Order: sequence, then structure tokens, then C-alpha cells
Amino acid sequence: MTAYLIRRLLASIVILLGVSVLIFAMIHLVPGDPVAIMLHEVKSGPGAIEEMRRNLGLDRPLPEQYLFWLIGNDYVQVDTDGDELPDSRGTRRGILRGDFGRSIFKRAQVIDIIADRFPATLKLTVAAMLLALPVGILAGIVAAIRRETLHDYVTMLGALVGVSIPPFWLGLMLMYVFGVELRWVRPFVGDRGFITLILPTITLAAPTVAIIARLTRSSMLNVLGEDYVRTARAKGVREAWVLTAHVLRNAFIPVLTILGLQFGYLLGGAVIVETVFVFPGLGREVVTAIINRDFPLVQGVTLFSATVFVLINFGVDMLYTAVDPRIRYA
Amino acid sequence: MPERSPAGGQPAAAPAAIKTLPENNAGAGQSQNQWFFVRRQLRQDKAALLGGAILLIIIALTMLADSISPFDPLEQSRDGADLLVPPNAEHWMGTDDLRRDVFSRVLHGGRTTISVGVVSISAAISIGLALGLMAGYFGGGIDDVISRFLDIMLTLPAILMAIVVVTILGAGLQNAMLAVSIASMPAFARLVRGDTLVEKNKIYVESSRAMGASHWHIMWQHILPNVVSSVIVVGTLRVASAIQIAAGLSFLGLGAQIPHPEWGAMLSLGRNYIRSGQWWMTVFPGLAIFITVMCINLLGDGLRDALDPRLRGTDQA
Repeated sequence: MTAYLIRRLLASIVILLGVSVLIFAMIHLVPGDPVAIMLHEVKSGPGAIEEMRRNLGLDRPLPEQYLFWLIGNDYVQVDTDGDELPDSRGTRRGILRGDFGRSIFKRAQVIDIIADRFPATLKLTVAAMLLALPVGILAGIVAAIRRETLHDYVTMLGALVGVSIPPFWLGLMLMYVFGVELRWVRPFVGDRGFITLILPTITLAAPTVAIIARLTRSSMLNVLGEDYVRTARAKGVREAWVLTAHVLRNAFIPVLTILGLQFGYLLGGAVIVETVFVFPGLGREVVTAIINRDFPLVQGVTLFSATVFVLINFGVDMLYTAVDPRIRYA
Repeated sequence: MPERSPAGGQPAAAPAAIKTLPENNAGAGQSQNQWFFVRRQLRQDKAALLGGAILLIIIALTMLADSISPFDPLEQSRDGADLLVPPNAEHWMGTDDLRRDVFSRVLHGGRTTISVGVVSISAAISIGLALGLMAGYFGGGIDDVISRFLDIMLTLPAILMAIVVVTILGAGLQNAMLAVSIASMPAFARLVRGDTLVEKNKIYVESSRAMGASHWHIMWQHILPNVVSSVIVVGTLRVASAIQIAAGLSFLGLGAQIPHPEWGAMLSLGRNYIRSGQWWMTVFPGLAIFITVMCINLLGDGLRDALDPRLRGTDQA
């Protein structure tokens, strides 16, 4: 168990390092001069290009730049202020210690922007998961137990709608119906307490509800066909007990596996849902950052999301081994 | 379970591989066989048929947009009375804020949206197929490098990956297409790698190798035809999500640019008129995306049941 845990942890770290290389490389893949592109968007005086290039460390050889970006200048000597002398150590802390640099537009540390915006996104994501999980699982169970009845067909049709409906459109329609026509909520007001959270949560959760319902159903149907279920029934175990003790427990395992992935999907989906509802989270921030070509901010936010995603999947994996002992010995 | 799994056709195909190696390929006979079952299975799947039929109609309508749309999608009516008119006999889906006919724009927009989905997934399939075949077939160091690379790419959810690409290349329709393509590629590579791992140990590969076939020949002539069915299934379902992501990027202002009609971009315009009650600018392009995506999903689910029942319930899309 411990060995498995350590192996998974190491794998997660390697993946995150890889992601960091990918995101670091991003700025160097920009056709043309990224600094000129960024500065094109802000008013710049003479020498501004040189200054920013130095500030971002872009005048250094690539491996050195990466190290600088990763661990700061405790170990790498860089001159970012243009005084021909290396900066004093420790002025940049590197992304490993949460220093993603400064946003070009907001004139603030990227990490502060993330700290400011992430809670709203987290709230939305968790709310969506809390809605999707019980609804999806319940719908899937009912569809599986009442297989090929009206219940099943309606649930599966609902699931098809859920995965097919574009989230931005669903959000706009909900807002039109409940905000404009019925006037139950005020449209486009952002994050103003519980009421304003309802529509974005439904919008974000819809595809996840559908996917969880489909998966629960098919996983239940698989388990219902297992020999041990037949044995339990043959022994005369009550149906309710068969379902809870034998079927559900095993049917949950695949559902658990996709939970981590679904969290990632929700974090990604938040980009769109937040834009629709003018919700002040990380997703909306990143869209603005892209339009402004604020590379440090985009890099920071994507790296941060990737880290959250990898951590959640690591957590789900751990949970998974707890539920399914077979994994531990594999 | 459907009565027959196409993958079960292997034993019959293996002797054929030995007999006809130089001129013919083992895959051809088998895929004919397979397509027969697929057609039979699909014919019984009413939902998939319905989805496919509606999809065909939608594609035909958008491809013929030039000749059937009643107005020019870009033309702004000179008549001031045409501003934000609700749906009526003349403008079936109303007019927008620039006095353009929404119906004509939806027809033309579909051409863009649907082709972005199809083109980006085709590109993703070609690259993913090549990487997956190589990783699965050669194994060892090549597999390690490719697989780790895929792991890293899969760490970012598709929409975030697409956003990273758009950040690098800048907003625009072509860049959005490339972004969707890059974001979808790892899923195909992964899938093909897994299938290739299974196929390469089968006897028909061994016999082909014994006859001196090159790696290239084995990969393209023998393994490829046997992994293609799951690629078709996942590919179809992925076109649906590609359309959603591409329209999403346009909605965010990162894809198709004004005044070009595109479903996602139209929604983003319509959004400004929700509060004042001009629902038609939003309802129709969104409905178009929704119905198209749903039909593709129906067709994809049907194809999956017919071609590759193993994938059922995995929700690869």
C-alpha cells in the first residue's frame, strides 16, 4: 500500500514537472516576439521591450530560464533590473514556491490574482459536484433497476440531452427563463450569495450529471449480471440488501474513477460558465488574460489548474484503493 | 451484450493473412465482414438511424446555405424596421442587432461550426493514430516517451488545453481549430496504443512477420484495419465534443471573429440582448448546436454498440 502510494505520488510529481515544461515552453512557441506582442497591448515607452525581456528572464539561455522560472534566483543568477549586476538572491521565488511573476495588465502578482479568484471557482465547482453526484447516481440506479421501462428511457434521454447541450447555451436559456421572463433571479449579477449560485451550478453540473448517470447505470447492469449477485439472490437475501451490500458497492468503483476526471472537466467548464454568468472566478480571469495576451497570468492559472487537477486525481486514487482492495495488490 | 463482437472475427482473418499477404491485406476481407454486421446492427438501432438522418439533413442544409438561405448572412438590411425583429413569415428566426437575417446566419454558421468539428477531429485522428500505433507497436523507449507525453497532455482538461493553444497562437477560427485538434489528439493516441498492444500479439501479426513483412507493412496493413473501428466510434463521439469546444471558444471570443457567422459567436452576440428580451438571437444558434451535437452523439452511440461493444459505458467522449 505504501509502495503504491509513493509510486503514485512520484508519478504525479513527474507529470506536473512535465506540465510545467509544456506551459513554460508555451511562451517560446508564440510566433514572433512574445514581448512585442504583450507590449503591443499596453502603452510602452522606449526601452520597454528590453526591460520586460530582462524582467521575464527572456534574454537567458532556455534551460537557465526554465530553472529561473521554476525555482527563482536563489540558485540562478539573473539580472532583471538592468543594472548590469546580478539581482540579490531570493528576489524571485520561482513557481515551485508560488511565484508566477507579475501580471502584465493587472500590475499585481499572479499568485495574488489566483488567490483572489480561485475561491469563487472552487465554490462553483464543488457546488456542481455536490449536485451532480447524488442526482447522477440516483438517476443511474433507478434506470438500471427499472431497465427498459419508461424510467430508464426518460433517464437516458435526459442524459443524452445533458451531454449534448452546450453549457453556454443552457446557461443563457436558464437566465432568460428565470431571470428575464419569470424574474426569479437577477440576471448577470455575478456572485451575490446562494441565489446567484443556483443557475451557474445547474449549468456546470448538467454534463456531469449525465455522464455519472450513464456510467452508474452501465456499471450497475454489469454488476447485476455477476455470479455473486445471483448467489446472494439464490440464498434468499432481501433484494434491498443485495442492491446495497453487493451491487452498489461494486458499481461505484468505475464512478469513483471518473470523479477526478470530472473535477477537471468542471474546472475547465467553469471558464465558460463563469463567462456566461459574469461570475468572478478564475475562468473569467483567464479569458480576459488570453484576450490581453497576458502570458504570465495565463501560465499561472493553467499551471495552477493542472496542479489542482493532478492533486484531486491523486486523492481519488487513494480513495479508490480504500474502496477496492484489489488495486492494492495489483 | 450484442450477439456478435466484430473483434471476434480474428481467427477467420488470420489464415487469410497468410494466404494473401503480398497482394492483398488481411484487413480488407475482415472489414468487409465487419461492415456487414455493422450495417445490420445499425439498421435495427432506431435512435442511431434517426440521429443520422437528422444529421444528414442538417449537413445538407448548411452545405446548401448559399442557395437556400433567403438573405445574405452578412448583409445589413437598409430598412430600419428590420432591427431586432422577432421571428415572422419573412424572417423565420428574426433579425439581429445589425438587421441581418438570423435564419440565413444560422445556415451559414453551421457550415463553419460543423466543418471545424470534422476537420479538427480528422487531424487529431491522423496524428493520434500514428503516435498510438508507434507507441503500441514498438513499445520500450518509444512507448515510454510517447506515453509520458500523452499523460502530460491529458493532465489539462480539453478546454484548458485548447485555451493554452489559443493563447500561444492568438484568437481566430483556424487557431481554434488547431487548438481543438491538439486537445483531442491524446485521447486517440491512447486508444490506438491500447488496441495495438492487443493486436500486435495476435497470430496474424506473427505470421506476417514470419513471412518477412516490414514493421511499416504490419502496422499499416494489418494492425491499422483492426484498430480502426474503435477510432471511428470515439472519433464520431469526439466530433460532438469538438463542436461544443469550438463553439465555446468562439463564444468566449477566441474563435471565429465578427462578422463571420458561426454558431458560438452568434450566441455571444445574442447574449447582450437576453436581458432586453430578444431571445431569438440566442435560442436558434444554440438550438442548432444542441440538435447537431445530439444527433452526432446518437449516431456515435449506435456505432459504438454496433462496432465496438467493449467501449460501452466507458464514455470515452
